[in-house]
Amino acid sequence: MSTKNAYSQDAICVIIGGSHAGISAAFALRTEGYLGKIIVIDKDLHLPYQRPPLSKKTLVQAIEKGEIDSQQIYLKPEASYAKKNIDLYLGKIVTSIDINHSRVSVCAISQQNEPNNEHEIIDYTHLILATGASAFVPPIKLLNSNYGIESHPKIHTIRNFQDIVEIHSSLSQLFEGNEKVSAAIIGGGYIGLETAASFKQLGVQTTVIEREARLLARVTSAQMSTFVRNMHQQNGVKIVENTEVTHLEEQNKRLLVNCANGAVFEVDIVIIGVGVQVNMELARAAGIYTENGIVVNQHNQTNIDNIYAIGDCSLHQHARYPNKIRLESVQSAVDQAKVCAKEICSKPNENAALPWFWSDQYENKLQMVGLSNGYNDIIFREEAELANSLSIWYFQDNELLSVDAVNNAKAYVFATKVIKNALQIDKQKLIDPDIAIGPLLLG
Amino acid sequence: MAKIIFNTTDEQSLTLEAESGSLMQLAVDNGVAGIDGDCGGVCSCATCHVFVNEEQMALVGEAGEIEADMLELADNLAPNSRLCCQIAVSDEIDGLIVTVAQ
Repeated sequence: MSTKNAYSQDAICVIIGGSHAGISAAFALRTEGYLGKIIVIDKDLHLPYQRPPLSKKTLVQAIEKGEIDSQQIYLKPEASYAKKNIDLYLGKIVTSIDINHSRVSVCAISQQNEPNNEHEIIDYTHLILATGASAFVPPIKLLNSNYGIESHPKIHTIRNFQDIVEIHSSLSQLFEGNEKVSAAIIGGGYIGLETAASFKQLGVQTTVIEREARLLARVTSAQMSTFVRNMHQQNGVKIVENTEVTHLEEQNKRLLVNCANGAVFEVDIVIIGVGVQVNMELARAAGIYTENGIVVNQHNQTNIDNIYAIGDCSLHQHARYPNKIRLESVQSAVDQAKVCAKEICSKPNENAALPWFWSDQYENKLQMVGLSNGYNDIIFREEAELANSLSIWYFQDNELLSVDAVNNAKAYVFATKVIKNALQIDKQKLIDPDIAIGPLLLG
Repeated sequence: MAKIIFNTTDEQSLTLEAESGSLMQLAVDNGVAGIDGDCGGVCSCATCHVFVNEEQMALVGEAGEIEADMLELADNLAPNSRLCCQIAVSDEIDGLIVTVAQ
């Protein structure tokens, strides 16, 4: 067993993944006083960047301005890595983790994403897995094409910077030759809907095809789904629910999207946004315990000493919830990173931060706080004086679990305080939209 | 080109220059301690809270409605509180002094 700790100058912390979680952890380790070397490894060649703007501002600006301003979305400026003595290994992947000898094998990848044969072995004192998730491509057949679904130049996912580069390239070509450009977005979750809003803003005729009976089926209530559907329809996006895509087909340079119910959509470009799969093969192969994510405790420790998992890939214990949770959010990534850094530096810590999420679609601001799992009562509120606004309050008996707010930051902020401080809301008052959101609602 | 002075809670003072963008982006690009900007500048997270030098409040004005609501999440809210992702850098705010709230 190594005697090195966070305060040994010859300690090495290897972080796999230059994601929001991985980079936050690197900087948090320095804040907490980690003295050893810190190495962040990511296969992406770009300086680590934020993902949330990709489907929104980055995409819209790429087309409008004709170029992609990557600097705008960098998590940290390049100089700050040197300043904090954080080594970035970009364009590289970890091919294996040897938990018995505490070392990882690293190699560079080619432009074709193939690993080369020159492996570098790095011994670690601490290992943080911030491997995130990848866009899931369902096994849909693509007929009559020289390409596979993953390599077709007009079929895209949205997860990485490179995806935006490729969509930009596709759309630029399409706009050159056509008066109208049309798109099908497979999947009516947040990524699909944000992309639909961005496409609409760019003048693309857009259809969202959702397999489930309603949009956002996995993450929110029917009331919210209805509101979001109306919002998109009012903006001219076609929403098709209860419709499963069976196969795609190339025809005269266009794409036919064929569905199980017989519907066919003929479009120029297809975006697949049906969710993600957790990147945990590396961990599993190394003998680290995984379920629907890399399993960690309330301090983000895996079942192996000195190995941690944070961010979208971790199925973590959280002080607020009885069952382990896996969250795909910036807030959760950042908070887990801080917990993990404190744990490595032997400082008190626990995953306890209240989860929150946001999404921007058209001019609308969606804000969610808490997790609604286990709710048995729901209150739906529309403020007379706020246009296009809505808040949905999820209760388990009298305890407020979570709130979804659209264009209603007041509701979001008040709910955050209520949940954080375990305050009681008088539901009879909450139902009455004439009683303003604020302390008057407390029971 | 506008010069902005950031005072941090660890008693450092940084003078930064920019022509455009938001005050939050300027702070993040230069590693100003206490400005995280987790949401990327869309007024969704309240991790870029600053106190504007009271005598210069007129330069930047008061928080807008959504911003004012989001500021309610801050522990040490004051009349000169702003989320600096909502302050645009321009020549008009040259010489602005802000103090990072945490």
